[in-house]
Amino acid sequence: MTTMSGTDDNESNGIAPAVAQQIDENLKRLYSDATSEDLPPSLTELLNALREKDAQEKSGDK
Amino acid sequence: MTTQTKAQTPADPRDEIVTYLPALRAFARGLTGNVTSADDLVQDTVLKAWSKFDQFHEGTNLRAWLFTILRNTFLSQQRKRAKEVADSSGSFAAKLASKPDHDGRLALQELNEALKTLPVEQREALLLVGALGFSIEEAAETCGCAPGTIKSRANRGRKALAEILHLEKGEQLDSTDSSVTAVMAASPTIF
Repeated sequence: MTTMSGTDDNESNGIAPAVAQQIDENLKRLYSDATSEDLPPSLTELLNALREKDAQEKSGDK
Repeated sequence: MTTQTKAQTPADPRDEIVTYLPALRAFARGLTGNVTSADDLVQDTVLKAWSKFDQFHEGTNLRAWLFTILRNTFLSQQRKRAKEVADSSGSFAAKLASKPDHDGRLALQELNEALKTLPVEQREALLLVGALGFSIEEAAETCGCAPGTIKSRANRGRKALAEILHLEKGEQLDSTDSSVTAVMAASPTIF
């Protein structure tokens, strides 16, 4: 049994591998800003609030 | 079998969520096409993940679990909105197809706009595998489908992008030269 799917690979032959690679590289470039930005305060505040709530519930249980 | 260093294992996987937030935001931007909606979506994802952390099995893939929650949240929001908003993606594609451009930033902007015109299943496959570097297997786990399905969705997505952006006719999606790098540095945010 083969693990590589010939059918799927054939489907990528619809475009040149260089074009496919170019698209992937540019997608990475397009999203590299988003992945390296600082998190917005709203998100870090949300996480802190959730942690605090959990900590309070835990201490309340004891 | 596997040797695990228990001393280094984080006490609570919730503490790891923050590690995945930047990539979750990027995925959300790709799905929603909008920074504000994306951050709202990530907030909803964090709240949902937190409330059902008892369903997460420690030692399994936290990243895929979080991305699945984000994806399902987005899809359910989209289904609700589909009843209210008419689809305008066709005119978007037509506009893009008539306007090839060689400027790098525009090229990336066009790529972003073209991406929005793809069916969501192709878009998510390309975002996960192409933009965020997920393996085919992890993307399949995230989307709840077979690896072969992700592979063909990504391939169909690339083919559609190539057609919209005229890449098959010898156009270059040229955002890699130095002039483009300069433009990108001056104006880093496409969204």
